Amino acid sequence: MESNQPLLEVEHLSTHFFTENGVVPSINDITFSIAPGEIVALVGESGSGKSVTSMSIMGLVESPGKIVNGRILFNNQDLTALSYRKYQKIRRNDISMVFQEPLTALNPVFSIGFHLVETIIVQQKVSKKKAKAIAFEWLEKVRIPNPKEVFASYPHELSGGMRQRVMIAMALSSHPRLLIADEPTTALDVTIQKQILDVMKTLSKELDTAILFITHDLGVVAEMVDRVMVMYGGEIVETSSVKQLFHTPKHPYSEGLLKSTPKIQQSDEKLDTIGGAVPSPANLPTGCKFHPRCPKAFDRCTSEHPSLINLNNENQVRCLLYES
Amino acid sequence: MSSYIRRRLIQLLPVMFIIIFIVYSLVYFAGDPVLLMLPENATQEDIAQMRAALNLDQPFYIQFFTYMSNVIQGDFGDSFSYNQPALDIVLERLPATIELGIASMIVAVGMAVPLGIWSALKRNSLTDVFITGGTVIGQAMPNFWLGIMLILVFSVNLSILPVSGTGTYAHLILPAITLGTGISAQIARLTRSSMLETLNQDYIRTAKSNGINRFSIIYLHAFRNSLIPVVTITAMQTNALIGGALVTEMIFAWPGLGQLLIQAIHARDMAIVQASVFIIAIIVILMNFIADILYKLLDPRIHLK
Repeated sequence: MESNQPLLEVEHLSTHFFTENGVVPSINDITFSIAPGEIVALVGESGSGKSVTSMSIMGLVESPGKIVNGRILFNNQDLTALSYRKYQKIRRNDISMVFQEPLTALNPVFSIGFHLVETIIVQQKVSKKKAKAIAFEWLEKVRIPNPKEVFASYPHELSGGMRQRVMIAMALSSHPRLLIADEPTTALDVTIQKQILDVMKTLSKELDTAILFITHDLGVVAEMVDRVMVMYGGEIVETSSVKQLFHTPKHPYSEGLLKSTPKIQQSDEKLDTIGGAVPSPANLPTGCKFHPRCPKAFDRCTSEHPSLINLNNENQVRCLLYES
Repeated sequence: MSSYIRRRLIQLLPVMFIIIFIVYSLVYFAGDPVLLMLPENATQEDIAQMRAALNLDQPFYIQFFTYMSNVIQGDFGDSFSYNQPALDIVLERLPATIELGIASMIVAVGMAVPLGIWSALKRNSLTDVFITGGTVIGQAMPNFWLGIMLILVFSVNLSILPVSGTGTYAHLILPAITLGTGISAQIARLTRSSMLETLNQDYIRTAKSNGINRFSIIYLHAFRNSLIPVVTITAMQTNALIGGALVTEMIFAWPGLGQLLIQAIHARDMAIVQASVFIIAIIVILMNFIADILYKLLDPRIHLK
């Protein structure tokens, strides 16, 4: 499963939105890579640039947004240079996506069967009959108990968990190399969350599909992934293995995030929070983007923008505290 | 669904009753038809006699219920200018108006939907500005002016289409364009905004991320959803269509219901006015009813109860 050649390499990616009120630098100088079959999380609060990163990889950043810098190498092929048609081929066969809100992500006027069959036909170039058979196979794979009924249902007739299973079936039916899951369980009940995560994990193992898991839920991270990247203010501020992040978070922001996660042992204590609010990408602070909220900030933080520092092979942090 | 249709049809009855009541009251309070029907030198006695013969000396509610019971039997009274049952005359004119209405709708939808989609896809471009500007002009332009201009250009100057009358498809072209343009403008604007809204929906993003080709995304996923409000508004435009038909039929001497109604109003032929309004009301109600059913067919989330 492990190979030296990464599946996806994002290099110095910057996506900006050119609005009437000026340029909004949603993500800046993002660099990371994902190995084949690896499950990586991208963690951050709303507005930190997680979704823009995923849409950039999908090639679906819409005007006025634009990738202004950087490369996205997928199997050594630079996606940012592709035409719409060629990108279409990548989206059909190699990279899939599951979205946060499965109700609005499915077309309300088409049945589940229509969605699946349509997707399978364009992705696998099979006949309608074959596509239908594959669709049923996938409904079973994502553990939908009554495939026949669900096939004929419309999105609004299903529960959130069922809809998300359908989304996963649509995304994985082409056996993609990479699945981008953008907060796939945020809109679901906790019990359903677990089931959906299990389905995703099992199927990705089976298909050897890598997953870029976008979430703000650290519980989900602990459950699912091998490696975590923490985003803040449109930048990656820390990369680390899950274990390391939970035991010894390096960046003050990661530390804050972990402290503000409820734990069973401390049920009667007041939960820690990170003071202040996520800065708007249109109005980012100078220097370190986190300094206005950082408990460990010192004078240099307000003016000097830290670069990503390699602590060891799998651990990087963007903080002046770690400058040697 | 069939129980829904049945219930809707039953609900129609009180609506029809109210319409008949309103039309009858308007005509009743508009003035005494006897004075118009008799020559100017008629004596008071003649007038009283005529009133008694027509039941006009009875109180309003008795007159109304007599009228109502006749209407239930399909009798709207006789037209005094045609000396025939009013309903027969109205029904005889109806096909011409329906023909014009359908032709106008084809013109309206045929222009509006492609233009609306096109301007939505080219949002904020020069094309969009032209189309949107054009729809404003189309909507602001009065029917009678457009009709006369079309006659001037195509019939008088270019002599390629007949000025007025009926009989061939060529006769239908100018009235249909005249009547269809205003309606078309409204549908085009709605199609545009509806398309823009659906193109921004999450499911369009899903379709894109699944590699569905652009044509299907626009014409299957987005258009199918944008169609829902468009169909509703189009069916509701029947009102505007009939209002416009009154003017258009007069301009082009189109022998339809509109022309008949205007002539009847001029002649104070109240039986025809009442029968016409009744038929028009039924058409409008039916079209709204059809809109509801289409709505259900287009959107599986709608439950008709």
